[in-house]
Amino acid sequence: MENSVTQDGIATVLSNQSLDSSSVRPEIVVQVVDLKPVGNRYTFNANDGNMKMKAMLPATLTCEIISGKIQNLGLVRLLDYTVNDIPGKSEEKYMLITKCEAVASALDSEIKAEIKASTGITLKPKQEFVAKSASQIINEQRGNAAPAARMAMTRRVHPLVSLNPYQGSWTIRVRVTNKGVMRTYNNARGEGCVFNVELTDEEGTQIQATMFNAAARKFYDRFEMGKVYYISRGSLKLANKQFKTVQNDYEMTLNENSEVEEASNEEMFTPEIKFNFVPIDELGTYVNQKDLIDVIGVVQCVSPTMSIRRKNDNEMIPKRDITLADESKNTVVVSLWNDLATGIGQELLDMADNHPVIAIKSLKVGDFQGVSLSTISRSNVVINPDSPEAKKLKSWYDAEGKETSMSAIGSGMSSSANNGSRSMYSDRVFLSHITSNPSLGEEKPVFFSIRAYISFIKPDQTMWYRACKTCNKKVTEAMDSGYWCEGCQKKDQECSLRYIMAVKVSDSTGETWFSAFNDEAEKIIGCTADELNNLKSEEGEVNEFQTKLKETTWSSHLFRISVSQQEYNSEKRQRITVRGVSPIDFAAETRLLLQDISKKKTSQ
Amino acid sequence: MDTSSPSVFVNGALMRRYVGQKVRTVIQVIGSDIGSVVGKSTDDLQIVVRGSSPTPPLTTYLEVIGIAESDNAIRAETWTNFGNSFGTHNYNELCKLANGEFKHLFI
Amino acid sequence: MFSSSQFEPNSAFSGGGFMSSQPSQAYESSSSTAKNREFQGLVPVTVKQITECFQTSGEKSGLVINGISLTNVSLVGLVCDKDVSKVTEVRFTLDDGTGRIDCKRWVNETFDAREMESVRDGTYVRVNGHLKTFQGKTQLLVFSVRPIMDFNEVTFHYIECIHFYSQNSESQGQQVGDVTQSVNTTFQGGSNTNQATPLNPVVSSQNNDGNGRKNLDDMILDYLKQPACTARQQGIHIDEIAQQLKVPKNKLEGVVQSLEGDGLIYSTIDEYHFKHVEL
Repeated sequence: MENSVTQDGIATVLSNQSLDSSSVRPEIVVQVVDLKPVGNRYTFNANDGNMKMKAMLPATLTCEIISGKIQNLGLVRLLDYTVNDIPGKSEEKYMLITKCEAVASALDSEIKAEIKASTGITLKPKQEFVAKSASQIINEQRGNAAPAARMAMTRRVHPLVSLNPYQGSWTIRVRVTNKGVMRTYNNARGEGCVFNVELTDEEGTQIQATMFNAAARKFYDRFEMGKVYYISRGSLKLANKQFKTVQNDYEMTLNENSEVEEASNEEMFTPEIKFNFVPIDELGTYVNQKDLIDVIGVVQCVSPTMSIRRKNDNEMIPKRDITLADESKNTVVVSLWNDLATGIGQELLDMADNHPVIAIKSLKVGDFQGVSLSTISRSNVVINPDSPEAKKLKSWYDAEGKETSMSAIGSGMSSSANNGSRSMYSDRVFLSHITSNPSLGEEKPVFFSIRAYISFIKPDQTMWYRACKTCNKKVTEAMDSGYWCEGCQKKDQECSLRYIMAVKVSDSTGETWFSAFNDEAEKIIGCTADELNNLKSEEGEVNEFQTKLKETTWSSHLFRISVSQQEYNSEKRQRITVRGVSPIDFAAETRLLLQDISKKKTSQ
Repeated sequence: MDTSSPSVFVNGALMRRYVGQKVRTVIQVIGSDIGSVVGKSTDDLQIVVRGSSPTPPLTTYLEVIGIAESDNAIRAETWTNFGNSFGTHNYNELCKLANGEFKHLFI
Repeated sequence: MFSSSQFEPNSAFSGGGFMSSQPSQAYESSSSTAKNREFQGLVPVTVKQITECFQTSGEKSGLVINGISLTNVSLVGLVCDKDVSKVTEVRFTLDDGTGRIDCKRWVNETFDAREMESVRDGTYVRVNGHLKTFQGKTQLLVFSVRPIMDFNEVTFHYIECIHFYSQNSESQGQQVGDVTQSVNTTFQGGSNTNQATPLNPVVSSQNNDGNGRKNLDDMILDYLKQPACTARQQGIHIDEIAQQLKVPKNKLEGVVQSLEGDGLIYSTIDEYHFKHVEL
């Protein structure tokens, strides 16, 4: 194991501001100091014993910090980074690391220039210092620790999983795997502050601990991300299911009298990631619920990265879809976002042919394509986990799984058809089902999913209205200037356009008209009403407005629609409104059709 | 319209039925050499494709249309990169259906 | 997925709203579809199917597959013999592996020309068009030619041909409406019980403080979500937020802290620079 930092590594970084494959890679090893979380990533000061520099780690490496691979005071080798200016402080720079690897775990202390050796600094990692007997450690601790801490040392450590609110005294040994920021609040009893930490013990059991006011102030600086502590004299209560982020029925409150001692000389432990797997065929009941779920499956295929334009801010974010299968003979698509798409997603693509088993912690279950999974910032992906579940799954796959025909979980939805989850793959109909049933939606609106082409958009229709920028309601031109909003009872100089349009759609059974409102029409057209209006007013040889509409025509989508009856000139008419639009996943659609073909075959 | 020279959808196992005839298949590229590409069929059999392969780079999946020379070799006339993500199971089902109950829709 | 709209959909197309001056195009034609029973669907087919139905049904009765007369069809195949010798049209042959069919695309507008430029011999495309038989020759008058981007669509197309054929084959000879009816019952697979699950329109999150003014949380979030801000790796300084939103900095600090606590934003290079958390 290498235990030294690169001499003048920071100077090298600064003189060599970005590393890429074409340039010569100087090997730079730095020490991580002041490691702390910000949002979903971590920052630290990179230390070479001589100089320090601010550095930021990508979110993909968060799991390495949580698992203890990258530790505060440990050493890392920089593989890829860029150097950026801190605005307003021209002489100060920070390093944005995109790739690095852990070289050594936490050293005794921060490397200082005074003890610099000519070949770089060599310090032994902590582990080697810990080759002492337990009694030695306890004695040493006793020598300089508070009495309370000594108590913690000699008491038996409780597994976190064994704690309940009805116990007397206990001590736990846990690593801080997430630390919140201090928040202030105001309520009837006045002002206060609060923060919480997520604690994980050696067995991987997690619990959230909350501290208020004096306790918060007392322990805020004591708790450091990634460090291990002995904790006792906290109280447990039932967790608030609405807000819980970790799998535990209980949550912990620490007060001023609670004991929190850092287990600095103890042997470090790497907490296991504890999974609570949901079989793929049971995912339906979690659709659009708050709960995060864990899943394990065999990788069937991995898509290239795609750039998805986020609707609310137009930002392009990388996404990669992987398809997982399990023994339920179902598959589900997991969307990896951001760094997970580009980092571990690429790794998965490279090894997709070997059909690795992956376990993912903390996924959101959405209704896209019936049932789909999506990573969030705290999701954790483990490739080929060393667990009995993974072994069982792999041997099932090798023996029979790869020959078995799988179905996408979203397409059937039969197991969860009665839980009301709305799926693009459930209640699928053809257009003729609607057009040939004129009384559909008579009593109350009925909903369907439909795959169809946009076949015509009348260019001369009124396709938008002037809307209030605040409430989206229709505005009228004010007498003098600007626009009056009846809803807000105020005038604004500006308004925005919002779509309201009729589009003709066709499928294999017929054609009809849908009404589409702003958000859905934006997805269909691919730009906002204001943008389309600008195209319309553009002059020039090419009519970009017409072109945009033509581009839109003859593209197919999955629509979620509602059918209702509307009286118009005392005549009842069917009205079909677009409630959702999504792009077509051809592989999933094919599976759906194949299922239907085979269903029909067996019924004959 | 001309339906005199169709190319039949095949997987590895179906090739032998069409030796000497025009077929189409999608393979997962395992390796390529000058004048030939070795790939895995959608039913996990090895297929050798001869002929001047398209300008690299080849994607993971490749569609070839050509004459079946033997039960595991094709002389290709048309090559199309099918990308790096392709549902081989679906394609394999298509090959089976297009040579079974619904053959008359294809040949 | 069902994005919220504060605009009340039901009032939009109703006779009484602000749309009253405008005839509602939305359902005018849907009723006329029911009246004339001419079939207008876009049917997925192979060239082989077109040839066969042409041979059996002949020119006079039009092209009929399983009792459904083909007018508009959708095909997937390789473009060959692209011919641009005429200014107003592009001709090409589509080879879908089951056969070849002559196609003609009128080039009237810039868009038509642009679309045809991107298509070359050897390009895999989806072609939607209208089948026309004239003097014994069948030609496809093309509405659109779109290069295939995801090749799963190739598999999908042929499976869709099989699906359409198999769903309609049993009811051969019946009238179109009935045929498609039977398609639906099969495809729906008994999900009638839950198909009518009402969708409660989701009201978008609280953006108002009651006075039509956005609250500070949203203002900060909206500002940080702007592409110009998210593009800046180092994040945005709190002073800049204060300046841009014209809000005193001391008023901002508490809100920023609570947003950070909620995990909506995070501090970047120091405790004064913030970025919006991307999920």
